[in-house]
Amino acid sequence: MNASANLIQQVYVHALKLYPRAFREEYAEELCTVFNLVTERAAQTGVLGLVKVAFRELRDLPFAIIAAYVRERRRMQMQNRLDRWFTHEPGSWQEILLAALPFLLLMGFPGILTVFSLDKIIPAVIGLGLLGLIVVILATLGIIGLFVELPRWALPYAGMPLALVAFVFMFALGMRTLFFGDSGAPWALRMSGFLAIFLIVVLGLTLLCVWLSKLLPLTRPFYERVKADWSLLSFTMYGGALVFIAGMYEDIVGAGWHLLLTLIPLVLGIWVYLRETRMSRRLWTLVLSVTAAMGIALAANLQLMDWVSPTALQIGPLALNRAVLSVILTWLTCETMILAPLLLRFTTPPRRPILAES
Amino acid sequence: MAHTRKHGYAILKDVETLSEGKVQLSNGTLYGALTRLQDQGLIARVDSDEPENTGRPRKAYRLTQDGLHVLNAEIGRLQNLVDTARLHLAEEGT
Repeated sequence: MNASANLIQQVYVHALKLYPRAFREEYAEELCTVFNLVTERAAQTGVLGLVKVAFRELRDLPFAIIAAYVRERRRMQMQNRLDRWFTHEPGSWQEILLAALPFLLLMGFPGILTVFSLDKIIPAVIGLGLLGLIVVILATLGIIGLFVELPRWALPYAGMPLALVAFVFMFALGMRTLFFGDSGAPWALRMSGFLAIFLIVVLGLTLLCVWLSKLLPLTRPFYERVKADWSLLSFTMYGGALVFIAGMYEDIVGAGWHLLLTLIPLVLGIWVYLRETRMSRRLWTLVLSVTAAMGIALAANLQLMDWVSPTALQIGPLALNRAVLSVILTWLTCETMILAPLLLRFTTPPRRPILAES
Repeated sequence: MAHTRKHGYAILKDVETLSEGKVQLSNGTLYGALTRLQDQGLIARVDSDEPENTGRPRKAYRLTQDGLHVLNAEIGRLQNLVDTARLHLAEEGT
């Protein structure tokens, strides 16, 4: 391609940064594609053609930018209060806090209660009431997230019910009895089979939701964003992983510090994911965060379990008891949930290179 | 755009061709107009019909029902103007 055309295109890409962010997100790629086609056609007529295109663009750009800002301002004024409270700049502390809230409430709150021995003072009814309140808060935020077109912070909120619905679906189909009844098969095999089917169900449900989001005007922007960035589904699954991680503490008493420690990698994962721009780093951050959280859950299981877990798998001299094996299998399930959406990248065509006019 | 969806570049070329090269829109002007028409509900932004890997924009624009009504009304208005002008010219000539 003509070096001058290339230079003009590069300058244009930078000039687009002057447009409002929302406009850029929606139109920047399209504007670049059209501009590249225009400059490449002009380059065929010589340098003068290119200069004309550049001049025309430069002449109209200030007016176009002002018009775009006026339009954005009008749109912002039309937006309701929900948007003002729940739509935030990518990577802002508000976005991180909203995304981390389910983790803070579901793990941090019981963690603090246990550390300060409040769980022994507070009556069970009040404890249940507080848990109900947390569920109501999270459900409300999840619904608000849906109404503001499912921004990134709302995705873990969607992951949690997806995992829970998958469990309910499996239990409704009698999978619990099938896998954990008196079948006589080794426990490790039954547990692996159960989690494998869970994975199929939860990923199937996720894909169904993505497909449904294409049909509804409210969720259509989410569908468009997912098409461009499959890691959003990994972040959704990160919320599903929370259900598993919280479940790891179900049978152990006095794990307050472990619960609080588990929060650190999980919240750190959210922080890096929402601030990082490279997809690979975002994915690896989620993977490492879940690994660290599971490591802490494993330590809690080994240190605090008040019952002796029977051996579930014997590999040579290594005997894995049920508690350890359960954490390992759950860890594998969570990582598969997070990494599986990556495979969907290969089902979509690669981004088109900017070609010359055909 | 009245009968088929068109992407931004095709619209630019159409404007140039229809005006016999007299009107050459910049990207900024074109997209300013397209967003305004979208806001007014006269056109809709849809997925392009273009096959993959052609280097063409992935989004296209098509006229909505409202847009079609407005277009017809505008054609009618301009037709009336032309008819009236012709009538006046004919009267002045006689």
